[in-house]
Amino acid sequence: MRYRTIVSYGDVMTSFFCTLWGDKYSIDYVRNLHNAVKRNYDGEFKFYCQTDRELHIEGVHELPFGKYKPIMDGRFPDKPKLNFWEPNCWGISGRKVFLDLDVVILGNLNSIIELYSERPIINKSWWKEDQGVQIDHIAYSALTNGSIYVWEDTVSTKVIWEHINKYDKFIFFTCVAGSDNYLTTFHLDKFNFVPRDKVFSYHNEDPVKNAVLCTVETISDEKEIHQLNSWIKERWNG
Amino acid sequence: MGRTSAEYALNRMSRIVDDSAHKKLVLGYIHNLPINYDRIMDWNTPDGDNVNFMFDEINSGDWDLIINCCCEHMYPMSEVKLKGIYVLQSNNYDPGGNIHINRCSSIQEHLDQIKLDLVYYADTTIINGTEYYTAIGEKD
Repeated sequence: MRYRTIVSYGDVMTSFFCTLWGDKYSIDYVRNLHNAVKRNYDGEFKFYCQTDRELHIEGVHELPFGKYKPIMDGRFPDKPKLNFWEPNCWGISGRKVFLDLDVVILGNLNSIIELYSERPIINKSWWKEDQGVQIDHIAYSALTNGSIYVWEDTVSTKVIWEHINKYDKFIFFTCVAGSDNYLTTFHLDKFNFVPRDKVFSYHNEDPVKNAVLCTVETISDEKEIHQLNSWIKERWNG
Repeated sequence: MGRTSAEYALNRMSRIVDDSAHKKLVLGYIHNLPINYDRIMDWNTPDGDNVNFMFDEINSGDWDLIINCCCEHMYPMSEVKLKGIYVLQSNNYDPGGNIHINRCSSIQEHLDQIKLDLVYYADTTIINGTEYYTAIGEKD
């Protein structure tokens, strides 16, 4: 008889998060992401969605928006993603994992989550690094890719939240493109990154063999996952 | 282009203000133009300092001549409350990449957001096809 090894960090419950607002993504994106986590994470977890909608998805806990609401004023379009950095937000602590809705999970998430060691993990736009994007002379460009965060509430994440709270007016004005511009400009040194062999960007890179995560971020007129006619859409549908 | 426009603003200033009598704060670049400032704060520095996040420090200083020839890179200058004379320039140029986060489309838009109490001088000049909006005045 063969037994599957379950790694669950002892009694630690992992909390998965996503967020849904506006009309860019349908509730199917939340459903598919939740199902993908069920298929690809070994361990106890809860799944939460910060949203203003009623989802009616079994196993998905709806959360109200935290301090920052989805206000569309042409700057910093993903303001609500900053809420995840609030310590103990929604009364949730412990190991936390945030996933963008436009990711496709291709492999076992534990191989990324288990890399956590005191410093929060974020994805990196490795393809931008290949292109030599200068982040030190263009203050508002982004090298991070917040398609996934893995973190616990620590001193350094508290520093991030306090900085957000102190300067939110200026952050929202100056970091025009959003949270990745902000995190790249001010907090890059606080993060570890998802290893390059575990992630790729569908619209910007060739697929990486045995990758765990595929990001399908759209910058201009690229297709969203549900619009694709490709193997990645089949994997997204499970 | 930036040097030329800053040169224009500083030339205008020298005709209106005797800058030797003032304690000068420069925000952003002046492209190595010959001006003796007491402090310069950049809008984009590799070590993490960024003038957009330093308004508390600015407003607690004792500068009384504030020069900013690249307001298009910054949060609106209404945030600076120092009593003194201001030389402020913006433009309508979009280089892409969210570089000019606060470009204006007219001298009036520039004036509306810098909140001078008294305007000595305001004009639009065109350099290489870009409109530059220069305002000199004071806050009290």
